[in-house]
Amino acid sequence: MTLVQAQALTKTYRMGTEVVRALDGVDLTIDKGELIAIVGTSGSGKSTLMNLLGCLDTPSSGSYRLAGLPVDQLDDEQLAEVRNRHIGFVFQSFHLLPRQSALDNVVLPLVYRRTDPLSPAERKRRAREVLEKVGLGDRMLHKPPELSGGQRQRVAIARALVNDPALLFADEPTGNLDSKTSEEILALLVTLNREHGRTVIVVTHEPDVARRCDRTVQLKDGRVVHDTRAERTAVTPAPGAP
Amino acid sequence: MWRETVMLALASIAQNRLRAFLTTLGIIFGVMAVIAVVAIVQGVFYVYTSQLEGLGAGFMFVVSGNPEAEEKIRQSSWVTADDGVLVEREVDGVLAVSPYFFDRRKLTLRGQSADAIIMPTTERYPDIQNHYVEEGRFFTALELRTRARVVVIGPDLAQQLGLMRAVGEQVRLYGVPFTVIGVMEQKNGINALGQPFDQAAIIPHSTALTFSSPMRGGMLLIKLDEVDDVDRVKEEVRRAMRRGHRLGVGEPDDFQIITQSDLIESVGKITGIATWVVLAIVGVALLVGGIGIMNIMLVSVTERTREIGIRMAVGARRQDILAQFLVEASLLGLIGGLIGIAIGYGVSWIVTLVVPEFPPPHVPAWAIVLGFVFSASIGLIFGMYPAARAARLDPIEALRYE
Ligand SMILES: Nc1ncnc2c1ncn2[C@@H]1O[C@H](COP(=O)(O)OP(=O)(O)OP(=O)(O)O)[C@@H](O)[C@H]1O
Ligand SMILES: [Mg+2]
Repeated sequence: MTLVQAQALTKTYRMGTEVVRALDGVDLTIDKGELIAIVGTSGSGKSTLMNLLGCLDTPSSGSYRLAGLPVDQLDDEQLAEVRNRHIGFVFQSFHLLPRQSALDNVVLPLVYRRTDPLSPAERKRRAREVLEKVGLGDRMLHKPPELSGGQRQRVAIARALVNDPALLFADEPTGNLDSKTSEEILALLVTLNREHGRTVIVVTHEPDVARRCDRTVQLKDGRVVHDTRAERTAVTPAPGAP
Repeated sequence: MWRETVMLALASIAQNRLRAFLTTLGIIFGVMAVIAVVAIVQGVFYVYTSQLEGLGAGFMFVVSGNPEAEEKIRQSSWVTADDGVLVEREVDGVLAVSPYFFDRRKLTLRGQSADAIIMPTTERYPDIQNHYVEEGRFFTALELRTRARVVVIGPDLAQQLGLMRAVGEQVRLYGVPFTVIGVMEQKNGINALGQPFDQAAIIPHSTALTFSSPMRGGMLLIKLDEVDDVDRVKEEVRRAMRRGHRLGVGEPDDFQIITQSDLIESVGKITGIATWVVLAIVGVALLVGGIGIMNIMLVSVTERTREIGIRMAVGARRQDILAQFLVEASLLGLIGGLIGIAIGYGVSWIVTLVVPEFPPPHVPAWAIVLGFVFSASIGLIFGMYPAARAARLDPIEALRYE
């Protein structure tokens, strides 16, 4: 089943008189359950692509359908709803609210959930459950500054998962972590894909990481230059494999 | 959602208590001034009106002199007891007239002394003033005619002299003995001459005249038969007074007749002025307080740009961000208002305690509601621009903000 369908996605920035093409006609189709790595040199447009696919930004031109929704035609309010219910985002620099506990950080997306809203007690219950799942059951009331980098990123992953989104984006999730911690976070993302069938898209610089994914999309100057599928080591069969 | 928004705003204010306090100083001062002025004005008004009510509806005063007359009035033409007799005899619809003035003297009893407000009047006084004796009796018409040395004292005076049973005691007034024949009932507040009722030593008017002459402040207190007849009676009293004072055609009145509606009008004028003063303060406070809130909210939006980006990334709509900052600004205003109300009430009490014989403050519910609504709406109005700026942020740029 096709989850992401992007055609001729273009994003331009105007810098004075010069026009920067951050993305230049990207076609991309992603099926449900895929684990995808997006690679490329710095400035090749990886983050721009993630932000567009994650509905944080809108394309200058091109079309984008997410789970059948014409995202490029939605207004700000509808985009917020899509981000809330269908998308989880994990950032390189965690982006947690520093003054709120891990638990409150994870509750946050549930607070902004408008369709079938949850009671405060139920929000807390779900947030706890997800925090347990990412291995932070004993750190729920700690605030981000009191947590290690790896723990912070786990909180961020829990926050991304709490609304049970179809798509999980991770933009260089291990960029700020040491190699051992990176390995753990990565293992967590792989598990989320392999065991829970969640679609995961990871931006990474590390060949190691890319090697563990089913599919690697390489960008250069805002264009897709390689789109390769690796031999599966997975339990789940690759959906929509050629 | 609203519960979270309010909790969030409170938490954010609590994180920066000192800043929040300084921010709301403008509102605190504004609301404080409003409440203090209202409390004091209403306190005075309250005492005044209850006193007017105490007199009953149908009454008027005749006072010496006429500030409206352009020509000089003879100094000797004071309002006297004789004028009272004349008015009572000649004007139809007048129930009773009592001359009325006061004199501050020491009243002594076996070496004990107390400050007394001597109120010379006639035997009609209790009915006119709706103020009766608690113990003993009031003096009679006969005692008035014979200039009897009798006195009816106020309860505070009795207490200051340490009298458990005052009736029958001999006190000294004007250096001569007077017999206490009664004690008045407790009647808090002040009379038409601004003197406390319960401190009075009431003596026959004729007796008083043998010791002191009625001063310029002397007046007649007239009680009417009918309440709706005021204008006609006023005109007739005026004619009788002019005849009594032998004023020729074209000569100005050397007295002034004040009716209850005149009094209410003058009270209205005072409260009207006070209202304008309050409005001016409100205007300044609105500006100062509002700009303070706007300034701090703009700072807050900048400081929390990343937070706004994070909230948007996990699904906050623009209107959620808008609501968050609007609620915070309104709460800032509201808290300022709350503190202002408390301090304002305190200030009005201090005024009452420091200024002698000042009536206690009276804060009506509408003033408190007004204080709240006013301070919250300032927060809301001046929070709009910062909140709109927050809501307009682009999620990606907000997330990238250092
Ligand atoms: N807001 C912006 N204004 C102007 N140019 C921008 C903006 N955002 C991105 N760009 C440009 O778009 C191009 C792609 O940027 P992007 O952040 O997507 O790169 P990236 O692949 O994520 O790089 P990195 O690996 O360093 O994170 C870059 O040339 C960048 O300068
Ligand atoms: Mg990037």
